Amino acid sequence: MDIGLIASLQYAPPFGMDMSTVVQGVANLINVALLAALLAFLLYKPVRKVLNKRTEKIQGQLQQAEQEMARATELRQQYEKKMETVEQEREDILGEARKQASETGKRLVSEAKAEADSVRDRATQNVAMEWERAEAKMRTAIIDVSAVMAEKFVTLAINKETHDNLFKEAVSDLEGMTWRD
Amino acid sequence: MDININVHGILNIGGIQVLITDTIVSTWIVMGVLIAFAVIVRIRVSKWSEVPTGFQNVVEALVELFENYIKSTAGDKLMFLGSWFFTVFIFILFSNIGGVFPGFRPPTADWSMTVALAIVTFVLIQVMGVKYRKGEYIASFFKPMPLFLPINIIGELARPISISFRLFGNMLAGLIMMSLLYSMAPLVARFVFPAFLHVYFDIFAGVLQTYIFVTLSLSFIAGAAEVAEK
Repeated sequence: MDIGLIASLQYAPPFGMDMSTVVQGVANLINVALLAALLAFLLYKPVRKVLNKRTEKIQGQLQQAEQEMARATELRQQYEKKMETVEQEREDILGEARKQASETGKRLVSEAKAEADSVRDRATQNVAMEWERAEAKMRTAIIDVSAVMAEKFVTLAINKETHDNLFKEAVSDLEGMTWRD
Repeated sequence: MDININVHGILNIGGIQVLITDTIVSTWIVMGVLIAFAVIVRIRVSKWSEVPTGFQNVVEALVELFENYIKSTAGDKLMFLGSWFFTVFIFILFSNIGGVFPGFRPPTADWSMTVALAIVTFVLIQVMGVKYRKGEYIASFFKPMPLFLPINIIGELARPISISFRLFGNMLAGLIMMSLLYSMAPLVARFVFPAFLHVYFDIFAGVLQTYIFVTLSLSFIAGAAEVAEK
């Protein structure tokens, strides 16, 4: 292999397409192939590796994010389901409470009514008793008054003779009565 | 600026003379720049953070953008070709844009370079066709009838020739235009004004032709492998 320097020498023009063109073409091809191999090794493949690695990492992160999203969605669904159950339970509890309150209210009203009836009955009884007592008192008072009046009248109307006659009649009545066991 | 390809030396390998032309030198310069860039990336890549910033962001965006481009052009099935086409793309791009530097002759303005790249595409077309479609791909050369075999073969051979000449022609045209300007225009016109032409011929046409070459290569391979575009 020897290199000879030839100043200002011009080789056949490209359109000549002689053997020299073929040799130059092969030389050019070797140069470009060498460049391709070096660029692939030094630039293209390492950069691709970095890009692929990053893409894989991002894809992994996206996949993870999707999984987490799916899990979050599932949790949300569960939560919503629970909330629905809680809502139902709340409705049930409220319904039950309303029912109990209604029953208690009715019971209390009924008891109050019964109590009121009882109070009223007792009051009526008391009134009746008071009434009877008052009647009895009045009767006694009337008797007393009548007795006093009768006494006064008798005192004023009866004399010694009338008194004796009455006494005799009473004694004779007593004598005419038969003793009975 | 010279439109001819100068020879700076001869490398004799087993009796085969390899000329150290402007194209080879320019290729080495582009290779040197790209390898230096790749070495910096390789050194730094182990220290890269989870959240990319600055230089890391640029490199990651470059690779990712290119991957998406391959995916959209050739589909997931041919993603393993990403490394090769990444090199082809970045090499052609830097070669074309390099034309803005005085004295730099874009390697893509030499047909021996563009045809070398196109031959790889041609080989990949045939290999992917046979790999994914097997006998059906071979049979496609005989369709619609066996008589069409020569036409189909010519059509197949026309692809690498077509894409190699497209890139080579565009870049050589830009080089010729700029050479004419620098050699013929009055001295006063050789400043500032050429910058606009460099932007058009080297940057605009350079980026566009890079994109076209790689897109066509990927489309041909995807077509042979019958990979539906997404």
